[in-house]
Amino acid sequence: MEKKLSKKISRRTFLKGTVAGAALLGPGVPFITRRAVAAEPLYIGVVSPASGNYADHGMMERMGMQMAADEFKEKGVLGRPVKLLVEDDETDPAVGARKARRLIEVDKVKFLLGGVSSSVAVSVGEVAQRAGVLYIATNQNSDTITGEKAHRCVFRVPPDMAMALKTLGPYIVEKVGKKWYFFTHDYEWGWSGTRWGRKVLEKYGGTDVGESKVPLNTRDFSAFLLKARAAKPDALVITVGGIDRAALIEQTYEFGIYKEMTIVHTLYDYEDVWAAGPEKNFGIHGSEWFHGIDIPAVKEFLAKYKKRWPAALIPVPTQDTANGYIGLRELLRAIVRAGKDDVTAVIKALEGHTVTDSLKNDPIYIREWDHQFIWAYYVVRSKKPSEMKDRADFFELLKWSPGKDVARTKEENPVKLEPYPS
Amino acid sequence: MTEFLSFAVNGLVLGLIFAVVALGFTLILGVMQVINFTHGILFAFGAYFAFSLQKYVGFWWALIIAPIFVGLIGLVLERLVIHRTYGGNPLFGLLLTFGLATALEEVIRMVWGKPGYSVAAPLFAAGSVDLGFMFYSKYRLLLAALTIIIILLVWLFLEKTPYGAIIKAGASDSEMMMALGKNLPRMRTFVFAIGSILAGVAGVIAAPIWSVRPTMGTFILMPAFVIVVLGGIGSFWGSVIAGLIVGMSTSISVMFWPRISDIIPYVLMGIILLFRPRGLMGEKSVLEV
Amino acid sequence: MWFVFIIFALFPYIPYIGRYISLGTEVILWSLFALGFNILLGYTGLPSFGHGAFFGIGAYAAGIFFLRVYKGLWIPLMMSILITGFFTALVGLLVAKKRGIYFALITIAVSQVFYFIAFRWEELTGGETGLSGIDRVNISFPNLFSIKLSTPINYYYFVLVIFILCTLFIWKIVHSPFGKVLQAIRENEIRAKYLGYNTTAYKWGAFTISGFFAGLAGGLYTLLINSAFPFVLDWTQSGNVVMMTLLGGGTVNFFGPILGAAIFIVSRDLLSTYWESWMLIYGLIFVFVILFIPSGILGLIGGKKQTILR
Repeated sequence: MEKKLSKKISRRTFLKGTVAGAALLGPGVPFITRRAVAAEPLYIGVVSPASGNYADHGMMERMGMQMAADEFKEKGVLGRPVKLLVEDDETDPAVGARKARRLIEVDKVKFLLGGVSSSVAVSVGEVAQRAGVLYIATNQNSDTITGEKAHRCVFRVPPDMAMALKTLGPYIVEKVGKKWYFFTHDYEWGWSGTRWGRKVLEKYGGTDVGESKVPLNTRDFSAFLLKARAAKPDALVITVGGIDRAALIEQTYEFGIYKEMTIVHTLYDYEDVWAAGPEKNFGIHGSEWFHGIDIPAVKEFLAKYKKRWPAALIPVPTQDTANGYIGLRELLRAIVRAGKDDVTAVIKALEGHTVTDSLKNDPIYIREWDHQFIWAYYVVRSKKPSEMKDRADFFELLKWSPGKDVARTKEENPVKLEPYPS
Repeated sequence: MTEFLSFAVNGLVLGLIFAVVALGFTLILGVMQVINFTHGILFAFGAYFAFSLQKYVGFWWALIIAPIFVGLIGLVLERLVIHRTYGGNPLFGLLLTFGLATALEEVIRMVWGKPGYSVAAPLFAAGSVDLGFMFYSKYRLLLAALTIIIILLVWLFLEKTPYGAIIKAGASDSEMMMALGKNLPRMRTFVFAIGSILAGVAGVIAAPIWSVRPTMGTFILMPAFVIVVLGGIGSFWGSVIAGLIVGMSTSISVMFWPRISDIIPYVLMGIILLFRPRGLMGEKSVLEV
Repeated sequence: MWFVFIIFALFPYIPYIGRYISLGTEVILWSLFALGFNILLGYTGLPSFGHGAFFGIGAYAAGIFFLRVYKGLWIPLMMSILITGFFTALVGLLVAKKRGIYFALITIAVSQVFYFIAFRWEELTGGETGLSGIDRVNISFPNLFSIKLSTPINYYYFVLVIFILCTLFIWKIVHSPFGKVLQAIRENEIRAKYLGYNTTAYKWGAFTISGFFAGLAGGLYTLLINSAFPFVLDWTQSGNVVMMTLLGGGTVNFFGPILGAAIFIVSRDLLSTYWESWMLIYGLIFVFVILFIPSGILGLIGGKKQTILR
């Protein structure tokens, strides 16, 4: 009897002891795990195209991001090493959204970056906003990303079409001519390019001699080109992108249209110029950025790029590379400024911040009410093959406008952002 | 009026390219009952080979050599994998070629890289020419001439050679081929190779105007389906005529209402199938059993 | 069968992979799509290559109704089912008389037409950008309780419940006299005709029923991603559902599509995460399956015994 009782008591004591031990250990557990967390990497999710129509752009932007990540290799961010988790969005909004969700749910990232297609950016932005995760759109130019579909959790690095046309437009009216014919890619981005083009044209007293709406996935532009030619414009103002633009460039050359009017691409991506080659490079265009801008920061960046990627298929960084680099670099710097990897704190660290060591002629102002990165836009001229100093020397810089002069005003963009994520 | 003319001429030229692609497609479909999803990627290979060869041998030799390489690829594919699906559920051929096409698109990206490329047309064909009633690109006129020659060559082969006659018979009734006691597997490989060459040559010709990208094949694959069904499976003239119809209708509809230009070929197909369920020139075949 | 349900029910609790709840939800709704599709493919033997379009119609129906008509839960989902059913019935009239290659070709063509409509009719579908902002509304019984569906895990169980109900329903269908006739048609349509069955009507029925489930799956998908995009109507999606059904062994086993959907979706996601050139492997897997395991995985496991779907 006594033995049994003692056994019982000892079991109870054992249990008590365990509970007490766990209670003591309990508060200690977070301490132990927090220690482990301190060394844990800071994961940044990258949603970028590696297949589909924008695979080449995606490749260039990821290279830029890697260059930014390299700069933080020694010190890390908040003492933690930075790790990029890259997912292929396949230039498809549904896939982009799924990858974003994977990064958020499984890998528990709080920061997302990347993308070239505007529709992918819209869908990823939506996922990010719902999950309270920060997303920096690095290479999309559609007005809506900092306009109708703007979100508190979304920032956008490259300029929108207002900035493009307000820089480019006046130059074209003055130096090329007042009669414009528009090629509008028949979706949101194309419409915004032509819309701003028309506004500038009207303001400077020019004439709109016609427009052709080019459906997505058009391969054959001959009819549009012939129609444009019949209207006899001074400038053919083109807002057509992607694989359609590639065909358009080929056919502009094929029909010799560039000899009869000035070809103007409102936002000319370097990847497309590179693909077309020196013979098929003509006109005066708008450009976000190119490696020939004559400032020390760009020269340095070019040298860094060549050193880092000696075997790159495109031997110079493109605007996508620059945007990818700036996007990640500023995100990481903002996390450092915020002092913690809390999304709201980082958003606040980005809003209203000015980046002095920009890759352009002016500093970057990260505007707080629409989350647009405000910095310069450029006007370039296509060099003739005989003028090229090396095989990548496609452009000559004609003019640039500081971002703040050409960005949308609050009247032009009455956007309202949601409250900060709690 | 000149506007309409220019759209119509464009449509013809586009239709000719489509016709060449569809010819290859319909032969493969008719003789082996395989819905060849790799046709688009073979088209792309034609363009890529042309791009790589052009630096060394120029446009004309590239035009001859590149399709041969594409034919070789087709031959290898057929001998290694595709022939195993003959006679079975059509789904298998379709899925197999679909898988191959997906894998091969990635192979293109791996070999040639992700950036796009440009193929230069021969110098004499650059720029426009004044045809009197309209301006047109010289290269497209060259393109039209080349495609007509190719179509003519195929016709000569099918009509005037005994080998071709068997294939022509086999395209609309493959049981016939077996009854004629010829070496069936070899003939089928041959047909697949021919189809591949046709796709490849179309790729070379189209490259200077459409630019060279890994995804370029998707633009002709779906129209190829429509053309083949509209024209009649296995029919030479069916493919040619339907190709021209699809090319013209796509181009002209761009003039009136660009948005529906993609759907017009399907609508036409639907209408024609209502009256002629086998397509314009299709005949009752093994496919319907 | 209950085994399958239990595994799905426990999935969120599996360490690490259980975190990826939205993938699990996707697996369930694609399984639903594939099961319904298998009524047509496995049981009736009709190779439709255009079912992605019906998935897409369901997806857009839910989205458009939510945004433009009524911000609810049940009504948009009902609309997914009904509107898709309507279109499937219409298309079914076109194809019910066909077989084999022609059947496949026409379904491809039809799905392309729907794709282009979704892509080009911007006023209705939002065009290339698609529709967004489609929320998941709470299920609430006034005065009783309210379930918040916006959290991933609640939505997962919601979809699971619907899936279980539908699976039981599909089981009933294929084991009914109707289902038996479908199998007879698959084996030998001419003989079935001689036995007095109106095979065209049965084929139309199978087509339409599979469409209802495709539409439901599409609606559930829109609610999962809170958006609708034209890319879901791409013909590659149609290819994907055929592949899933075959891969798992849908031609020999009722549960094949579920296994196939799970393997397909999970491995596609894993592949593209770990390798930039994942499409190469993805394509080769298709080739491998068709050449070496055409009866699917369950067919492989079942061995010679399981050659026909019953």
